[in-house]
Amino acid sequence: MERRITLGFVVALGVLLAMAVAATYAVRAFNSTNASVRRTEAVRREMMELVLVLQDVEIGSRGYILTGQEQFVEPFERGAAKVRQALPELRHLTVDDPHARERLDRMAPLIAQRVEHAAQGIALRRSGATAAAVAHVATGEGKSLMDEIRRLFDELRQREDRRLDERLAAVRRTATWTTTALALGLTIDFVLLGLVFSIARQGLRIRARAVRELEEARKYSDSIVETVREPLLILSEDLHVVRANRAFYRKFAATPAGTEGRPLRELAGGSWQVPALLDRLAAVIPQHAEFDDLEVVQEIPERGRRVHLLTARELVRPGSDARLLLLAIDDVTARRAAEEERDRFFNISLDLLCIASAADGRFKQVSPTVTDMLGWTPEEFLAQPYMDLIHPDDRASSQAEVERQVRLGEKVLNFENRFRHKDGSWRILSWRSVPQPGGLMYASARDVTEHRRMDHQIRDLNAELSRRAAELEAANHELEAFSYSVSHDLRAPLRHIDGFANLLARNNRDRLDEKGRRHVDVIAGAARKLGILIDELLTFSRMGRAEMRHTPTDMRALVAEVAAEQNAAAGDRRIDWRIGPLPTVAADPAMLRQVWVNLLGNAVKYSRERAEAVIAVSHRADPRLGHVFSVRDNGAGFDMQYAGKLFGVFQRLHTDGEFEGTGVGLANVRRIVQRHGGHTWAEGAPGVGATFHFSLPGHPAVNGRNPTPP
Amino acid sequence: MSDIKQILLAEDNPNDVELTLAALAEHHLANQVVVVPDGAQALEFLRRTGRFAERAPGNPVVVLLDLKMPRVDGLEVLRQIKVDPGLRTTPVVMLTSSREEADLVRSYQLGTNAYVVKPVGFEEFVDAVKQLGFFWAVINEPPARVTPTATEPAR
Repeated sequence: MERRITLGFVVALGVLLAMAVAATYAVRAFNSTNASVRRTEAVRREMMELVLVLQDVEIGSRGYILTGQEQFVEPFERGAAKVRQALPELRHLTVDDPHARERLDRMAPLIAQRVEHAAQGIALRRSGATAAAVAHVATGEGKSLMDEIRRLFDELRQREDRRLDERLAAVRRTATWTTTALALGLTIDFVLLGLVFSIARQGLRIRARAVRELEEARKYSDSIVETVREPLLILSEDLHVVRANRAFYRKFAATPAGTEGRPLRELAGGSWQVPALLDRLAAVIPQHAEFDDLEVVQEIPERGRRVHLLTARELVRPGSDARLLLLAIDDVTARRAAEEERDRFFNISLDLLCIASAADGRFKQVSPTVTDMLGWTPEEFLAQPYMDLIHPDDRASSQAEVERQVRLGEKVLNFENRFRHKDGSWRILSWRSVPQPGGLMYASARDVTEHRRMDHQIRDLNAELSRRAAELEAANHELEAFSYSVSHDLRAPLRHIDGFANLLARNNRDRLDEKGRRHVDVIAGAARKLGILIDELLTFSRMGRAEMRHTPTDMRALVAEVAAEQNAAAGDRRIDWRIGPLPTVAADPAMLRQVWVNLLGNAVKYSRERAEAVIAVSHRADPRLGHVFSVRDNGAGFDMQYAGKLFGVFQRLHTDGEFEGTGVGLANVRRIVQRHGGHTWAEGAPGVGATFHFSLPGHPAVNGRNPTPP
Repeated sequence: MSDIKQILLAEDNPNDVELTLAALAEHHLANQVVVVPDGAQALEFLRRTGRFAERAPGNPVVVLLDLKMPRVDGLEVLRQIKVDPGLRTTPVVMLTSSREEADLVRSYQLGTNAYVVKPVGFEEFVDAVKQLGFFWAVINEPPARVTPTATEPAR
């Protein structure tokens, strides 16, 4: 635009100059023509005068000749003088006109002749030769001279007239041309100036708008700078603060007065005096070396160690060419601390922690646990696409889980797949994962390979157990039927043997001798013994199958009751019963009664050789076993090497001759205790005594229920 | 004491019948015993039907029932007695080899008056039968009359 305006002006000036030149030329031409015209007219006037003078000369000479009066000589004299004067005058006027000069040169002698002729006539008259003088006139010489002069004169005059006309025409032409040229120049200048004016006005308007927009832009950028939460500094090229925003003042507890105009390195107690930073900043404007997120650690007075991310940009000060530097300060101290903390957790986690990207199918970060769990170093692990690490059979399901997260933003809980261990084996990982923006997944994995293996084992064992339980149930049913049958059908013949043996003995008392009676007794005794065995076996069998009813059972009361019974059965024996404090337990009272009957009964039985039997019943709490009950006697005792046989069915450590028994009692005790979830054991020494223990699960302090034994 | 005090013994095993009768004989009660070999005949006797249609009216003082018998077993006979208005008050003693709890419970549920497990030993058996027979046949008064308190059987 400026160029167009300049060009317009130059052209307009050029046109004006041309017009001036043209006008000067025209005026000069006009002046020259005018001089010619004036000279031409002067020439004509002089010539006319010369002709008139010549006539005066002629008239004077003729008058004198005719009259001889001297009064006529004087005009002649004056005319002759004038003629002599006029000719040089004319010569001078026609100096630049050779044609006129030539005519004048031709006329001059003629005029001189004419004057001479007249002078001769006068001289003749004066001499008195009037007639000669008249004759001199009458020759006509004077007239022909005069005519010749007149002809030349006319010729000259006509020519001068023609030249005058020509010159006037030239003057008119010049005038017309000049006028036209000036008009044209004026028009062109008008148009040009109009154009220039229009362009200039448009330029002014644009400039005004630009100024307004600049002002608005400045306000706009100012409000951004002020409201932005990040502290911002605007620095001059020599790193002096031009201005700072509100966030800066707030953050660094600074004032505009103490900040603006000061060098950056002096701010905040010199904490900006970081050579690496100042070097980088100094390079921003000269080398256009802007930078982003330069991490700088600074010791800010009263705020301590801060980690800042600094971003520098080159700015142009609005409305001038001055270069400025914008420095944005992002305080990431808290973020860094949180990251460090996170990283610490990341590094100590037993679970595998990782960040994966669905976009490129790789892990971005992984905790060091990966080496323990899968054998890979973190670098090796991150270098492979995660799908390559997943078992081929699990890839489709894994991909589905990834997509579910990324597309639907759903979490993943307890998803399992197999990952390749560096040693080539497959480990089952259980995943939890939370989707993050940008296709990232924060995930943790736990190695559940062992769990799964154990799950399998447990499942197998459970199946086996169920199968066995079913078998057991079937066996129990069979046993029940068998017991029933034994109960009825086995006992009947025994009864008959005994009954008829008795009848035989009674009815034939006299016919049987001593030996025969003894035989009958043996038959009856054996049958009875077999009957007892069968009964005890049935009891034992029933104890294993009977339904248990757990109720709170006061052991002290139960023991006291059973001891009293046993005491009574023992007749007048002296037994020192020492029954300690016993708790109440949750158990089947009828079964426990059987236990105590057997244990106390045994104690009484095996201590019958003692003058005074001591039977002690005690209880203690065991952290592992729960309640432990013990019955100690000072009876026959037993050899510990046979302790393993004590609780077996039909296992006896004494002969019937020593101590009668069936060998079922302790087996029953063990069976009942085991059904309650407890254990039985014993210790003893021959001739010293025995101690029988049994435990029942449950915390002694709690009078609650015991776990139901299997 | 009434002259005609019949005891009904339902027992399929002849050995047991003989032993029971022997035991009762010890107490001079055997001659009052009617023996039937199964439950069906026991019911015929009690209802005076079939082969017992002609017997003299009157219920036995006690019915001794073996549990396991062919055709109709002891439990079924017991059940029928206890639902029959004419027989309901007749005392029934279950006399059995079974020590099974289930049998005992079932018997009492059906309304038996006593449940006696036959001991293997003959002496005990004789004892048990003696006491039974004595109590029910000698001491106990049928419900038609005044019911005595039967706590102290005379010996």
